[in-house]
Formats: sequence, structure tokens, C-alpha cells
Amino acid sequence: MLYLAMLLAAAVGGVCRFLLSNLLAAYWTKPFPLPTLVVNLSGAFLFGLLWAGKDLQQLSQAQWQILALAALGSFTTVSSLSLQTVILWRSRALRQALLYPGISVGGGLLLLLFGSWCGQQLW
Amino acid sequence: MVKLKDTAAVALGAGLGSACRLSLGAWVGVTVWPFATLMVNLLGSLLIGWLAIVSQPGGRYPMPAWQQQFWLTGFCGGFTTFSLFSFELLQLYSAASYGAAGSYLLLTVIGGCCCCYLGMLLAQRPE
Repeated sequence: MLYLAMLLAAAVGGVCRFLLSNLLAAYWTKPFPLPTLVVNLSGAFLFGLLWAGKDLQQLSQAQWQILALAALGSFTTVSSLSLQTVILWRSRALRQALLYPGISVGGGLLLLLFGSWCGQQLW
Repeated sequence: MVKLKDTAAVALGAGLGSACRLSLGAWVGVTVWPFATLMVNLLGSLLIGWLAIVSQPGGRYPMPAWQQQFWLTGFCGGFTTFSLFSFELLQLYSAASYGAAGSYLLLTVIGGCCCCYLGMLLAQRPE
């Protein structure tokens, strides 16, 4: 039952990533992969919120597994990050090819911490 | 405009990809150094590099848009995870395991790009 809920949550997470990045791509036409960056950074923030909830024991282990590991795990992606970085690199946009993973990881850590801080106030 | 067929393909792919990720995670178990997440992120990067080339029009296995969405956006996207990677990286750093955090960061980011590029090279190899 838990496994089924996790699969469903993962499907929802993937669809949310698809819809959000398509929505952003309609307004963002530059080669820099901003839609995926927004997806990954917002996913890190939400992960931080849930982390605080788990820490304060407001979330059960099952809820953590469904929401954080399955849904947000599927919402965020490393494969697109790698692919887009390689594509930037191969199109000689070297500065962007360094900035993109840098902002992703640095921003992801900061937003994870910020999400966790917000979660501490909210839960 | 987003098509329902593509969205359904992403949902199925993400469910399947995540099932593989969660199964691999359960099989490896919880380790101090997050080996399971590194494995899914590197394998997913290798696969997306290969798929991106072979699924193109004129590629070895050209695919209609919904199949590309199933594999690239759905399966590879659901299989790999950035949020869990960030979380584990922060935990290693907070535990003052700077060597472990640094190696995890570099192996995921640089290793992911190398695996993706390797996947592209494998896809372009003449038959």
C-alpha cells in the first residue's frame, strides 16, 4: 500500500516537473535552462520544508517517504541537469556550462536550508 | 500547448523511473556515504545522453514526441533526483565530513556530465 502511494506520488511529481518546465519554457526562450533550474531549486526548498516537519515529528515516516523521497525525488532531476550542461558545453557556452551546475548546487543547498528554516516556523 | 498523451507518458515514465530508484535505494540500504543516490544519478545521466542522441529524428531509434517524453522527461527525470542529492550533501557537510561531501559533490556533478557525454559518444558510435 505504501509502495503504491509512493509510485502515484512519483508520477505526480514527474508530471508537475513537466508542466512547470513547459509553462516556464513558453516565456523563456534563451538557451540557458532556467525552467529546470527553477524546478530543482523549488524542489530543494520544498524538501527543506518537509525535512523540518520530519525533524519536529509532524510527519510520519510513511508521509516522509511519499512526499519527500517519492514525489520531490521525482519532481527534481539530475539527468536533465547533466544533459543541459553538456549541451551548453558543446555549444561553446562555457561560462553558462559552469554557471548552471554551480547555481543549481549552491542555490539548492541555500534553498534547502531556507526551506528548513521556514518549516521550523510553520510546522 | 501541452498534450494529454505526453503528460500521461511522463506520468508513467516518472512512476517507473522512481520505482527503479526506490528499489535500488532499498536494495543498497541506508549508507553514510550516499552510494545509492550517486548510482541512480550517474546511470540516469548516462541513459539520458544515449537516449537524447538515438531518439532524434534520423537517429538509431527515432521516437515520436510522446515516447521521448516517456523516456527522457519521465523515466530519466523520475529515476534521478536533485532534491535528495542536495539533502545528502548538506547532511555530510553538517556532519563535518568535508572529504565525503566534496567527493559526493564532484562525483555527482562532474561524473554526471561525463556519464552523459559518454552516453552520447556510445550513441554516435558507427554500427
